[in-house]
Amino acid sequence: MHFSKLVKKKNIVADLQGTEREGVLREMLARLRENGEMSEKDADQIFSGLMARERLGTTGIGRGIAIPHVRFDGLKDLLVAVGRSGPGVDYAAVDGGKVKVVFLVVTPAAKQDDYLAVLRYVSSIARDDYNNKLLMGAQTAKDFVEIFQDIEEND
Amino acid sequence: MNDGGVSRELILRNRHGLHVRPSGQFVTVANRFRAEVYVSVEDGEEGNGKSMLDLTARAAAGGARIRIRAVGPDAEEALAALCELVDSGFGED
Repeated sequence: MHFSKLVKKKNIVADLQGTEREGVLREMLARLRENGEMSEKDADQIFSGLMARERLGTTGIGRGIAIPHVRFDGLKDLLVAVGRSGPGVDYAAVDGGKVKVVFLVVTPAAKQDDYLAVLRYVSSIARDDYNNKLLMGAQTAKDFVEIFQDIEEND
Repeated sequence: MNDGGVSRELILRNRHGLHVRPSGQFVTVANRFRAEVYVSVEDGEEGNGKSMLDLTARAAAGGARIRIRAVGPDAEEALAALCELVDSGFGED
């Protein structure tokens, strides 16, 4: 999948300030709103949906990565934002570790297959020792873009 | 294909497939047993059924055919419990 084309560089928040789940989700949605990806009303609704989903079970899938996600029909296409925390975020992840990279996914109902493709992609990176290390070492939005491009080229 | 132990093929009945939450439920049940558990989707490569990331990396879609294989002393019980979970639709829809 062309993940590097799916994630806009401006939607990568490389310096998350929050140290817990709720705060970083708010930060990432604030960026999406600033970038004109959604209205304030949509952002509020998406935030509520993301948190409701987290309460059903964490989306911290392990090895430093979380994939908070929500279905939302107010957007036409899948929207993906990436967040990165240097010290890591308390996320109640399945492996008990801190989360350093967050992939936030908003999925219109008709795009469920695209969401599953993103889930496969993110999980494959998380699982792969080499790619996981690259991701954990990324510090800037540019780093992330280059890593996503490299992974595609070597796929 | 590996064929040790006991295995069963079944169709994912829940609409949204083996995404994050069902994978978490699957791993939780699988880890209750000593048996090794393997999962493949549509005859693809087997993954570790006790690994969240192995399951989400496959992310089988709703309606997909999956194969669960269990190997070990309590393999029969593990397979039965996991098939029951899948057939229940993971409590969704």
